[in-house]
Amino acid sequence: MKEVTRMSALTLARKIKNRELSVEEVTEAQLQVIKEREPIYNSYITITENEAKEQAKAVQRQIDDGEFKNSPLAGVPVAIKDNICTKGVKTTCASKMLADFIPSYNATVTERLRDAGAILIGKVNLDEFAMGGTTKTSYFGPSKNPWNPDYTPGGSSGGSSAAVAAEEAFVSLGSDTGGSIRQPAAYCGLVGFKPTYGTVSRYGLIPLASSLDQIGPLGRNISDCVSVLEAISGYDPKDSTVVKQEKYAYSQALVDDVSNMRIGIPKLYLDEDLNEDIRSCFMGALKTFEDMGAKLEIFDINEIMYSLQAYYVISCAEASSNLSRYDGVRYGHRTADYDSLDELYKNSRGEGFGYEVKRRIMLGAYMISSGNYETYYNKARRIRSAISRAYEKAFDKYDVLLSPESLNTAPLLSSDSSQTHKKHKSEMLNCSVNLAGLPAVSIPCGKDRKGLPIGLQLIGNKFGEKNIIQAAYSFEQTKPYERPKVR
Amino acid sequence: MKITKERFNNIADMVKLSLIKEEETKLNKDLNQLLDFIETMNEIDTDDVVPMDYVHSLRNVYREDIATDLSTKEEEHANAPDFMDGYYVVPRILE
Repeated sequence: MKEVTRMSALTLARKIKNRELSVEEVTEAQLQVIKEREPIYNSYITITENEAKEQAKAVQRQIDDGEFKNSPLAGVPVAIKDNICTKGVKTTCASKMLADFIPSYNATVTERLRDAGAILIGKVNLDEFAMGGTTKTSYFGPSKNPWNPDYTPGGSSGGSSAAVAAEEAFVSLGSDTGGSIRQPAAYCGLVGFKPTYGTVSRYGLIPLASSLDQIGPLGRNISDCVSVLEAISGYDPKDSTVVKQEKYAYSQALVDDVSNMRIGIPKLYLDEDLNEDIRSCFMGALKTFEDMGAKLEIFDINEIMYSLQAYYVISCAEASSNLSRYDGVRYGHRTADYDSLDELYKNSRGEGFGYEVKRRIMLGAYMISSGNYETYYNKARRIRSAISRAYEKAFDKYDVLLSPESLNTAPLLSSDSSQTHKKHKSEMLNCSVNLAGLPAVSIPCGKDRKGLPIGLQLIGNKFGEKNIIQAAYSFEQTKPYERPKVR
Repeated sequence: MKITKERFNNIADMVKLSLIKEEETKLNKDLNQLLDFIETMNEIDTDDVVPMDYVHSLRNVYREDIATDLSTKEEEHANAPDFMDGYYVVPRILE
């Protein structure tokens, strides 16, 4: 039955519709693979075995009754990042603070996946409160990269990427505040899609930085991702930042044609001392696009040089206020060691949060404390404006921008995760996209000499999802999905 | 050191975080290093740029005021660490 879990989500769903496979046997096969491989990869925090089996029965019955005719995901096992609320199922944010938290409601995306007939197979690991790029800050231990378990699967959606690459789920949901969908997808050889801010409802996503967060899919190919994106996007009265659009028919953009597509390549990244393997893969990708008839041009966009600084200020300031809700009173961890209410707050938070979370809360609070607001917060907002305008200008000329997704491949889990110059530049590629609210997708474009996957980032204009889908789909035709050698 | 010990303690107090000694030392060093990095953003002139709040232009969003998501009180309180007779239990705050 292992062959079943190797299929693409869309192939699986077709086989289910054609009665070649039943939802129950697929779910059973998926749970079997999860049980075998979890001791190695630690992708999951919670496996919802019983719920999944029950849901499988119900979905099969509905399919038999003629429902889900237009749903390409009916019967497909999906994993959801554990910062997205699932009614009655623990949602921990990989933190001691929420280790026992059971939401009383579903996030809009959870609801929409259920409505599409997808089977929720479990909740996947992340860096604590989505703060990090390795899953090493998870209270439940790090996940492992299916290409080589000594390496990180990336983060913060590292459980989402490990699960899909290890065939422990067909597709997954992640969240992206500064690259947290795209970077883990790149490290695990997957497609990771971060939609335009306001495309997918954030209702029920436990927030990191509300003005930057966006939920999106990770999958083994662009078509799988697009079918998830189509299911989860759209207007939601529960999230006032969702922008109402006429149509969300992203699958119509799955067209193999980039002739005359105008593609811009920010010069900045070509100047970087790129790792040799990444440079050659990136150059190879550019050549592929050129050979397919796209019009490539190198251009300057120096405004994004300061995006990481601005990102730090804005994301930490927002995180600091978002995380003030954890008080040890209404929900979350409560200390046993207190005499006063003040001590209860302080010790509950001190015990419940890990180091990285504390670091960001402290930094954020400092940024917006009196006397610093103009120096840091407003300065960062001005830079954000400049970045956004620079991208707008670029999209007057180009349909899609291309960059390496990351300046390195997955680092060893044992390596020091403190900031390096290269890491800063790498994050710059990612977080400038969130600051401007743009859609971007990471797709696999090769491997380095250690055999670890390399990602290519395609950035689109606001609500320009279709352009990057078309470009990604065309590129994918030249480079079909390659699976890691998992057992 | 941009953030003095006193300022550091003041912020920790403000965000209600108790910190153990080792954390305190490491955090203080980390924060000062980060500030050095963040301040390099002052190299770019942004005087004529209006600060950005939001990705899309702001507009009012209305919806009908219809109650949804009717979870029960029990469901809502199930996650409380200490709950009794319809109240969250906290240490005495008035003598």
